[in-house]
Amino acid sequence: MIFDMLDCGGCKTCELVCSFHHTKEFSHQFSSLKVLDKKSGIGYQILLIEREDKINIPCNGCKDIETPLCLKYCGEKDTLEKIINEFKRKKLE
Amino acid sequence: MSIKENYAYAGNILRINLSDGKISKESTLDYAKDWLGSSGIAIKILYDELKPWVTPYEPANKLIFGAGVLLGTPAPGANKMNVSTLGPMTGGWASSCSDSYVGCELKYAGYDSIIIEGRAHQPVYIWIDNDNVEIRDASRFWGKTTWETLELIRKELKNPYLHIISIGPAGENLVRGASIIQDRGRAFGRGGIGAVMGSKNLKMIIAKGTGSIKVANPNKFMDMVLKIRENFAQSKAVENTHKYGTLSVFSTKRKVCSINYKNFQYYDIPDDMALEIFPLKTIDKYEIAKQSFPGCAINGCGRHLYINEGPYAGLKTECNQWEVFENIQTRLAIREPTFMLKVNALCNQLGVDIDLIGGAVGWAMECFQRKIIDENDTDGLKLNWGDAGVVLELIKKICYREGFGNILAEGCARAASIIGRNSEYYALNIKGQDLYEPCRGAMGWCLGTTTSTRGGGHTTGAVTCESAPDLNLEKAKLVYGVDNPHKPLEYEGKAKMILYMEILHRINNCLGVCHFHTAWWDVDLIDVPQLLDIYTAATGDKILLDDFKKMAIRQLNLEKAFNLKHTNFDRKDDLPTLRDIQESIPTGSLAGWKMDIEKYNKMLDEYYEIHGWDKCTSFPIEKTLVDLGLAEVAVDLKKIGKLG
Repeated sequence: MIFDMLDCGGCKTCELVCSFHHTKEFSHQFSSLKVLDKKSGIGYQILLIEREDKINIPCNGCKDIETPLCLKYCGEKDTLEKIINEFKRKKLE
Repeated sequence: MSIKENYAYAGNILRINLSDGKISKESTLDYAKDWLGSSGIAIKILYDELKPWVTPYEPANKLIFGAGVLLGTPAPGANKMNVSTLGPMTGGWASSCSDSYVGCELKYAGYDSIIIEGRAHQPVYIWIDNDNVEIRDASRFWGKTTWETLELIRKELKNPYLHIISIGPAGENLVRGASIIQDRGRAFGRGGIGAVMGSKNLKMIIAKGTGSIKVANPNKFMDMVLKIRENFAQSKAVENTHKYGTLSVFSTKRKVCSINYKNFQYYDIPDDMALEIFPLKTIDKYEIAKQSFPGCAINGCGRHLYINEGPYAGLKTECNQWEVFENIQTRLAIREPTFMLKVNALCNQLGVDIDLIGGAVGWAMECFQRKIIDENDTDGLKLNWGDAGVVLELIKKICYREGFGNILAEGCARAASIIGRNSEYYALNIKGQDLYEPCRGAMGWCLGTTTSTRGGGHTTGAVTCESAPDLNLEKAKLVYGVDNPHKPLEYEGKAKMILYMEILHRINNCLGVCHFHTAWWDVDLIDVPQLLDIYTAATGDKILLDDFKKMAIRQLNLEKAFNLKHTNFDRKDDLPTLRDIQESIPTGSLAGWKMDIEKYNKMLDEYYEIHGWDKCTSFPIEKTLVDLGLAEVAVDLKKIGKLG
């Protein structure tokens, strides 16, 4: 699922901490979210992985800890929180 | 405990010879123990491998790219890549850092550094995709701006998310102050490293990696990172930097009388001009988006602006930082408020150091003012202060080496020696490199700039706290070990402050940490002991604080020795410009202030003393080098008569 995040600055810290949550290592590969450049317009796109496959680990909302790591480290946590919540809601549907 | 190969470091240095296409790998850890990372490793390789007669543009020169040790992790501000070489501006050590995505990708691909040797027979680019490293034809990109290059390569490789570092026409044309640009902006600006890249026919480097970086003590590491971010959230300095980048210093700079106007003739701009070009207003008016970089705990100091009116209507670009505003906009007396954005964008597109532009065009405009040169020299252009159109025209001429631009492309020092006519006084440079830093009125900032081993420059030891508003004085005294860190006009104690900062700056560079996250920018931010804690948690290497600092001092001394091998620098090259020594500040809050050269020299004596360098010559003495494990360097310097 892809979401528009207009106030994302593209630091991709969320990717690294998500990767850490899954594997204790830092890699874009192991992240359940990917921050993508947009072809036009402001901000970045946030892609959240829904399904597991050979290379991707799906987002489970960090259900085993109090605050999802991406939110803990994001400088625009309010916006990202809305995205994560929408993702969770749509995934349940 | 020592560094284990698979913690923080990627483990490999890539060596690429563009002359014969040979690509090989060697271990980072052969160097890391004594040289830490990126810029430290680079100076060691450059010192060892470049013969004294090598010149910057020949194939024998080496261009070394290094990703900081902490890149690839979410360590605060960990996105700085370093580029080091024998530089054409000073003829000695050239080194420049920039934010980059490429540095992080390089780590994920498995490499800490890349050594570029030789010269390709035609334009090439380097493609790094994990283990696959190729030298590919770049003829179709040669001549393109950095923005065009990025767009074209993303289209060609059908990957809209590729990140690159590239040179523009300035690098291709060996403009002496050519830079290397990250994507569309953020620059490896200083020293003419872009010209060295151009001399090797190397257009760009692309890196992609799907690997991972591990740290030795993951939970401790992440706790530290989180704690620093929580502290940053309370910091006023961080808040200002987040909102306006370094343009946030405007009001302070006016108050402390430190804004270059008309090529250092004045140290403040007229009040009406200040109102007209107030940069925070420009940002607020045209801001459309943020820009951050990996690991940034400031939440990004960048802003994208879209200008919808005025002479540059339609321009969409990242906003410039302070240096462009002061070294081009105010230095050349331009009153159009959006000019700073336009000139920053143009310099990024063409790949030229904005400090070369400020220095060379500033010299030229003052010479025109004083009738030392006229329209016969300048291809018919009237080089009047404040003429934005002329400045943009000159930038293009410089980058394409056309007409008068061909002379300016050499930097102000060489341009002045080409033109002669006693114009050298107005060519503000240190060790041959165009000067940005205003050196009157803040002696710590001044001393750090003049003694910089890379030829002027404020990120190798200069301090900013002397004039900082809301300085935490007690913390500053503790950090610097002096009683007067808040007294810019005093000469005492500055040498000690510079020593601390020389260490911090180098550790930042080696670890890849952005200076603006550290005590350089605000004494309450990250300092050297904290950096050591992060380094230890990342690598597992339990190194003592004194040994950690010693690595930085070792690096500084090797830079110094490298300069002694390749240039004629000595004490005379650690002085401010003649203008800054002779002239008093004419207007502003420091009107009437004049440098006391005797006190400056005493301050410089003290600087040499605490560094263990000879006071007359500035050369390191044998004991200093031996204590740092550089006995062989002492032998080298003795052979050429440059041991202190």
